[in-house]
Parts: sequence; C-alpha cells; structure tokens
Amino acid sequence: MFRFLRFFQSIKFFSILVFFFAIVFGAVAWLIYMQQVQIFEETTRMQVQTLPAIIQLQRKGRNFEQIRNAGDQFMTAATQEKRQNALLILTLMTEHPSIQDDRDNDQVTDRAARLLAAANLAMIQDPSSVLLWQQRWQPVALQLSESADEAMTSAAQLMTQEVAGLTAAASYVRYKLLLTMFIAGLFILVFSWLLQRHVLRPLMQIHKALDGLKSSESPSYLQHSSMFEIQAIETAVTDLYELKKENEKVHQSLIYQANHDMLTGLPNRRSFIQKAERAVARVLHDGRAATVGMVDVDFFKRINDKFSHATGDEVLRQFARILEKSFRPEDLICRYGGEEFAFLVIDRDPEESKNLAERLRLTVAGHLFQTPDGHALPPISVSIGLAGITQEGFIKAIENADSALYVAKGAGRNQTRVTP
Amino acid sequence: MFSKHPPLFKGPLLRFFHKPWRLKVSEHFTTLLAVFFMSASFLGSTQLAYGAEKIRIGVLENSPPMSWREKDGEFMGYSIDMIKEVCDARSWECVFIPSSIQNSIEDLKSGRIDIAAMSLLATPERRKQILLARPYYTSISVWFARPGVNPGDEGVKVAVVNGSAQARFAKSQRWNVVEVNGHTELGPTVAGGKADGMLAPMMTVLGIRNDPTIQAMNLNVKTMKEPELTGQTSFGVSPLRPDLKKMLDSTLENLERSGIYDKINSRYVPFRVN
Repeated sequence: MFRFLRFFQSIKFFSILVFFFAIVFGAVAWLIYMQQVQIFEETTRMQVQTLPAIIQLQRKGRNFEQIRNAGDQFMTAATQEKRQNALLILTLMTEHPSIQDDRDNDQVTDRAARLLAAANLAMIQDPSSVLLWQQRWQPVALQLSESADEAMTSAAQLMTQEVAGLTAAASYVRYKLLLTMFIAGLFILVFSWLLQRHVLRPLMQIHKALDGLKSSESPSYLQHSSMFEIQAIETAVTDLYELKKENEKVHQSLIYQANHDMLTGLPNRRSFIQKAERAVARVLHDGRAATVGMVDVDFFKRINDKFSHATGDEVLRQFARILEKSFRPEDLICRYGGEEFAFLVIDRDPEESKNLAERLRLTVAGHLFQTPDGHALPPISVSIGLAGITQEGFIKAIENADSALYVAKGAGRNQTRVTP
Repeated sequence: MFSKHPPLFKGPLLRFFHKPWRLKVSEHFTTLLAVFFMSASFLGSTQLAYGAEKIRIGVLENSPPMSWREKDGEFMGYSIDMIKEVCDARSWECVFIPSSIQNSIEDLKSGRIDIAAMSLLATPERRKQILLARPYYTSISVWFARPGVNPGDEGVKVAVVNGSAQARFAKSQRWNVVEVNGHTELGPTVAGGKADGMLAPMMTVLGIRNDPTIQAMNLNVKTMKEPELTGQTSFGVSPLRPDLKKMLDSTLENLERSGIYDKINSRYVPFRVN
C-alpha cells in the first residue's frame, strides 16, 4: 500500500494530505457557516417579518372578537345612547385600516357594520324589533368568531411553520457539524496511522538499529520505508553499519599489526613485554614461579647469506610454528627481534623450564627446515638462555635470560643455559 | 538570584532587572494593579450613577385617551405610557414638558423638547421640519356630527384642533373652520353650538364618546377616507438630536415584539389600533 509514496518526500506527502484535509474541512466549515447564515437570516426574518405578522394576526383576531362584542353590546343595550356608543366603536373598528386592509375579512366586518347601522335606524323607529335583529345578528356574530379563530390559528400556524423551518435548519447544522467532526476524526486517524506506519515505526527501527550499532548488531531487520527521507536515513544507517564493520576490521588489523610480528605471526616484543609484565606482577603477587627464556637461531646470518633472505624468513616462520607448539596456551611467546625469540613460562621455575627448553632445542635440531621452494636445509640449532623471575621484575629477568643466552652461545651454541 | 543561576536576560534587560528598585516595584505590582482596577470600577459606577441622560419630552395635557394631565399633575394616556416604557428601557431621565400640537414642531426645532410624545401624522410640513420616529399606531380621522350634517355643506362649521392634520385638511378644503387649542375643547365646542361637528382623530372621538352631553346629541360617526387624514402616527424627534430617532425606533420595535404595545393599547382603546 502507498507504494507510490516512494517517489514522494514525506513532508510533501503530509503537506498534500493536510492541504487536502484543509480543503475538505474548509468546505464543510463553509457549509456550516452558510447554514448558520441561513439560520441567522431565518431568525432575522422571523423577527422582522414573521413576528410582526403574527402580532398583526393576533390583533386582527382580537379586533374581530371586539367587533362581535360591540355588536352583542348593541343588541343587548338598554338605551339608545348605549346602542349609539356601541355602534360608534364598531364603526371605528370596521373602518380601521387594520381591518379594511384585509380583503378576505372586510366582507364580514362590512356586513356587521351594515347590519348594525340598519338595526340602529330600525330600532329608533321600532324598539320592539330588537328580537328580530338579534336573530339576524347571530350568524354574523358566529362568522366574526370564526374569523377571529382563523386569525389566531393562522398566527399559531405561522409560528409553528417558522419554528419547524428553523428546527430543520438547525438539524442540518447539527448533521453537518457531526460530519465535520467525523471527517476531522477520520483525518486524525489516517494521519496518525500514516505517521505511525511510515514515519514513527521506521524511526523507531532506525533508533533500534543505531542502538544495535554499538554492539555491531546488523540492521538487517530494517524494512524499506515508503518515505523518501526515511529511506535515506535507513540507507545511511546501513552504510554506517558497513563502515563501522570495515573500521572494526581495520582496527583489529591495526591492533594485530601493533602487537604481532608480521613475518612469523607471533606477538612482537612490545606486546610480549606488556603482557609479560602484567603476568609477572600477578605471579609475584601470588608467590608463584615463572621463567623467562631467550632463544636465538644459531648462525642465522649464514642461512641468509648462503640461501637468501627469503629462506631465512622461511626458517623463522617454521621456527615460530615449532615455538607455538612447544608451549601451553597460558605461556607467552614472541619474536623478540631478528632471529631472537622470547618466552615466559608460568608456574615453572628455571629448572623445570630447562626441560621444556631442552625439548624445544631438540625439536628444532630434529626438524627438517626447508626453503620456500621446498628444498631441504641443513640442520639448524638454537641456543636458549633461561632466568627465573625474581622480585627485581621482568626486565631484570629478561636481562638475566639474555646473559644466559650469551653464555650458551659462547659455549658453542645448541645448548641451554640458566642464569644461576 | 542572578548570581546563582545563569542569566535569563542579557544586555539592557539584565541591567534593568539587576536594579533592586525594579524588583521592589514588581513586588508592589499586584497592589498597584488592584488599586487601578478599583479606581476604574469606582469611576465606572460613578459614570453609571450620574450618566442617565436627561431627555425632555413634549406632551399634551388635553388629548385623552392619548395624553392628558390628572389633577395631581401626573400625565396619563396611551402616548404617555408608551414614552414611559421607552424611557425605562433606555434608562433615560425623562422630563415631561407640556406642549401642544400647534407648538410641537417649533419646540422640537428649537430644542426646547427632544421628543414630542404625541401622535403626529406624517404631513409634508412635519417631514420637512422634524424627524418622525417609528409609527406606533394607525390613526383614522372621523367626522362626528348629527346625522345628515356633512362638512363642506353650506353653513356647516367644522371644529378642529389648531395645528392638527385635520385643521390643515379642513382649511385646504376651504371649510368653515372653528379652531380650538386642544382635543378636550372639541366636545364642548360642538355641544355648545359653536360648531356643527368635529373633524378629529379616531382616538379623540373614542375619548369623548362617554361624555353624556355628547351622547345626548346622538352624533353619528363617519370615517374620512382621504389620505391626508389617515395613516400611521409617530412621535416627533428634534432635528437637533438625530441620534435619538435611532434609539427611539429600536426601542419601540422591541416594545412591540415584547407585547407591551398591546398591553398599553388595551388600557386605553377597546380594539387594536396598529
């Protein structure tokens, strides 16, 4: 999914996503705004038009009732003056613009006015005709009441319609608001998921990978992210891992080169002295014994001169292998320099070590050394000087071993001597 | 504090806050702020207490049921109740100043009164000279006379209130006009035989209909259909105070919506007049 995002930078993708959301959200918000405007217009219209219209209808209804009351008062008036008064009020009401302007209702009011005017004249001439006029008045009075009811009902209906319209508009706003919230929530979910899936999770893996680099753990579990920038970081982490690996190798090589003799592969003098000093310190601390030995290949210069330096080097290499096989892993050996080698035997005093040295000397004497191209060389011997470790330390011991070696060589070589 | 911690401010700010007297000011800042707000509140309340605007209201003393003056000096009537509601709603301190229809325009123009709380039809002269507020009731004019007596008939004398729209109309019709100074004089003028009938606003006729003298005359009422005599009536506003018109209009509108209009209507008139 979203493989096409490999061609996009995440900032661009998320910017587009936010922009798209902003458009959608803005559109919905605009719709809500428009709905709010509509509600505002509706309420304004209600205030400016509907409410006055309702009030007008209520007034009209009341006036119809008042006309009926005036008519009833006219019909039941005890004196002509009272009838005249009722007629005056009725005339004013029926002639008032609030009644006259309504074409639908002016017929009933006119009818009432005409009937009462005629009744007034008739009653002046014949007061006994009141019952007849009362009968004639009843249907008009009923019609006036119905008109009053109609006006009042219309006012109520008008309000009901307006409220219903307003409620519907408010409902639309509510739905749109819910839709907006849903869209916003959906966007947050999608955004969070994309962020988690394509940014945060890869970043956490990168973090883990970077942590793993401390222990040289391979970041092979890094998945290829869809996001361009994350890919770049992942590549950088992988490259960093490879570089670290390479550096480790170089570092190890340098350490090896610093501590080993490149010709024989044995530890060099510097490494030997460092390790030997630490070992001697431990031995002396524990009160144990140890012996230092110096070995020199006899007449090595002659081998070089007679068979070539390459042969000399080969002899040294073969001797180094013999040396390695002659000592225990806990013992220390090294190429001390030139054709000289040294060793430190732990937990052995010089006498015990002399046997070991003798076995070495005899092994060398019996070994068939060869040139690099496989030709046999004449027998080769070594001289060995031994010295025990004393409280004077390792350096003193190696000087003593060197002195013993000098004695061995002076005594005809191919022998082992121990410093007393 | 500045010596123990790394400085939060550098340069001028550091120098500013290092001065001890600045710190003292900041310690008293809350007190200063409280004093400031208390002072502001005091001034605000003083303004509220003494800020009620005094508005001079021109009213009629003799035009029931719209406006009249009781024996104890109190003004009553449809227009009076309406303007009192406006004053309450606006928190105005309203002072009623007796005036007349005839003098109302000059009073408004001169600034003697700010509002004329009397029902003024929107005649061209009034439109030119004063401001008219939102109409508060619809008036019709009636001819109130014995049956068979019509204005304009030869020898028929028409009683009108001086300065009223009815007087203006009657004169324009070249009727035989008897002018009186107030609406309460119309009834006695007709009853006394000085006039044969009256051309008056509907409300005036409603006001004098219960007068036994008038009832005994058995007068007939006839509505006048001419546009100069019918229409919506308004309070007048001084042209020197155009700001009042806007306030007056919105308050009257609110009063109508709240139903106060109709309550006042019911107090004085048996039917709705708007």
